[in-house]
Amino acid sequence: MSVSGLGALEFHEIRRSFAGTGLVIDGVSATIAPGEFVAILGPSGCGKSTLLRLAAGLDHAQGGEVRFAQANDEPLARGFVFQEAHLLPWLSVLDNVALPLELLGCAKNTALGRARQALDQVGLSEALARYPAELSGGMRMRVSVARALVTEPQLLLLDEPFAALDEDTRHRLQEELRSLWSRRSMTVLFVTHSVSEAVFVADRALVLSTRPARVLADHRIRLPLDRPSQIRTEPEFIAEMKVVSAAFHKGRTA
Amino acid sequence: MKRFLPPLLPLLVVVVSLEFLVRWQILPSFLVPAPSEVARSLVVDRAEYWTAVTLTGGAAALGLLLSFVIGTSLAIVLSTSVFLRRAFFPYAVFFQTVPIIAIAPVLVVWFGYGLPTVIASAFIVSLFPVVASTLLGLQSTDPALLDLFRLYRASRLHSLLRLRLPFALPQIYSGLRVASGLAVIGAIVGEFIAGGGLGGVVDSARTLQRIDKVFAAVLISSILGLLFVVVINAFSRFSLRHWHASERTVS
Repeated sequence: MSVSGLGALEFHEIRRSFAGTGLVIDGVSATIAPGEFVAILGPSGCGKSTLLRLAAGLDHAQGGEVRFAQANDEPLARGFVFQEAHLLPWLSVLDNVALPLELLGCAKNTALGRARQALDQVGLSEALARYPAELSGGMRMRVSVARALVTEPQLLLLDEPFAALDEDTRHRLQEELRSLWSRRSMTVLFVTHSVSEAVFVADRALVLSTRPARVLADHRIRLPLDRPSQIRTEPEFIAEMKVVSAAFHKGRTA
Repeated sequence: MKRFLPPLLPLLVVVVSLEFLVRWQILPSFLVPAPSEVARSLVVDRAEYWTAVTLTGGAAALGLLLSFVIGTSLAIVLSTSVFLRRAFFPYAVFFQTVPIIAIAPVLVVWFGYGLPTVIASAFIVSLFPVVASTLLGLQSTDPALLDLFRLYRASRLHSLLRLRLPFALPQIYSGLRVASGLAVIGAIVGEFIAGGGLGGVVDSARTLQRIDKVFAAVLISSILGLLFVVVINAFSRFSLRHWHASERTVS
C-alpha cells in the first residue's frame, strides 16, 4: 500500500530490537490516513513508545520502513509531546514555546509571535511570562502541547502525555486536545495504556500485544466527532470500551 | 535571630572556656592563645592582616577563575567523546590525588617566589571538582530534551549552548562551591612556600612564637573561604532563580 495525501503515515513491517531487551517490535504494519486521530494502545513496556519515536524520526527501524508524506520541511512537519512536560526550567513559558522555531532558524520576533498564537490555542495567553516551576502539572502539559503545535505540524505524536495528571485535569486536556485536532488538519498518533483514554480521544485504536509488539486489533471507534465530557458515561462509549478492552486484555494474557 | 542563635552558642562556650583555661594556666599560652589575645592581635595588626587577606583572596579568586574557565572548557571537550574521556579522565583523577603540599616546592622552581606560584597552587587544587561536576552535569541532560533538540535539527553548538550547559548549571555551581574552599586552601599552601598573604603571616608568626597571630590568620582564612562560598551561592541563586519555586522570592 502506498501513502497518499499530506500528513499520511505508514508503518511497513517494522522490526526493532535493542541490545539487552531483545526484539521490541515484531512486524508492525499500519496505514494512517491524513487527518486521522489514532490511539496506539498497549500494555506498559510493549514497545509503543518505540513505535512513536520511529514515527518521529528519532529512531530507526532495523527492518521495514516508516513512510511519511509531508508538505513542508521535514523537521517542521512533526510535533512531539513527551510523557511529562519536559520544559526548559530557565526559559519563560513564551520562550519555551518559541524554542522549536528558533532552533529551526526562525527570526526571534516571528517565533515569539507564533508562540503567542500557539499558547492562545491551549488557553495559556495569560501565563506567557511565567516560568515552568510556577505552573501546575496540567498547565505545564498545556505548554508542552503548545510547543509541539508551534511549528504547525502535519503529524502530532503524543507519548502518554496525560498519564501523570490527576483525573479531572486529564479529562479536560483530552477534551481540549480533541477540539484542537478538529480545528486544524493534522494527523495525530496518541500512545496510551488507558482504554478509556484511547476510546475518548481517538477515532481508531491500534491495540498492540505485549513485547514484542504486534498489532492485535485495528478498531474504528464509532463515536461522534464532537465529544462532550458526559459521553464517557453513555452506553455507546461503554460499548466501544468493551470491544477495545477485550482486545487489550487478550493481548495481555496471550 | 532564632536561626543564628543555635550555631553561635557552642562558639561562645568554647571561646569563654578557652579564655579561662588559659588565664588560669590550665592550658599553656604558648600552645593555645587566649581568645582575647587573638582579638587584640586582630585589632593591633589589622593593616598587616588586611594586606595579607587581599593578597590571598585575590590569588585564590584568580586561581578559581582559571579553574572555572579551563575546567569548564575541558569538561565540554571531554563530554564530546567517550575516547577522550577514557584517555584523559584517569589523569584528571590522578592530578587530584597528588598532594599540593608536595608539588608546591616544584611550583616555586617553575614560577618563582611570588604571586604566580600562589595562583598556580590555588588553580591546581580547585581544577578537579570543576571538571568532574561540569562533566557530570553535561552528561546528565534530560534525554527527552535531547530528543526534542534532535527533532528540530539543532546544531551541536546550539545543543551545547541552549541545552546542555544551562542544564548543567546546578552541578557546575556545586563543583564551584567545593572548588572555592579548596582554592583558598591552595593559595595558603602556596604562600607557605612562596611567601606573602595569610600563608606568609602564619609561617612568620609561627617562627616568631606568636601563636595568637597564627590563630588570627587561621580565623581570617576560614572567613575568607566562607566569603567565597557566599559569593558562589549568590551567583547560583540568581541564575537558578526560575528553576524551583523555592528559589523565588515571594512578592
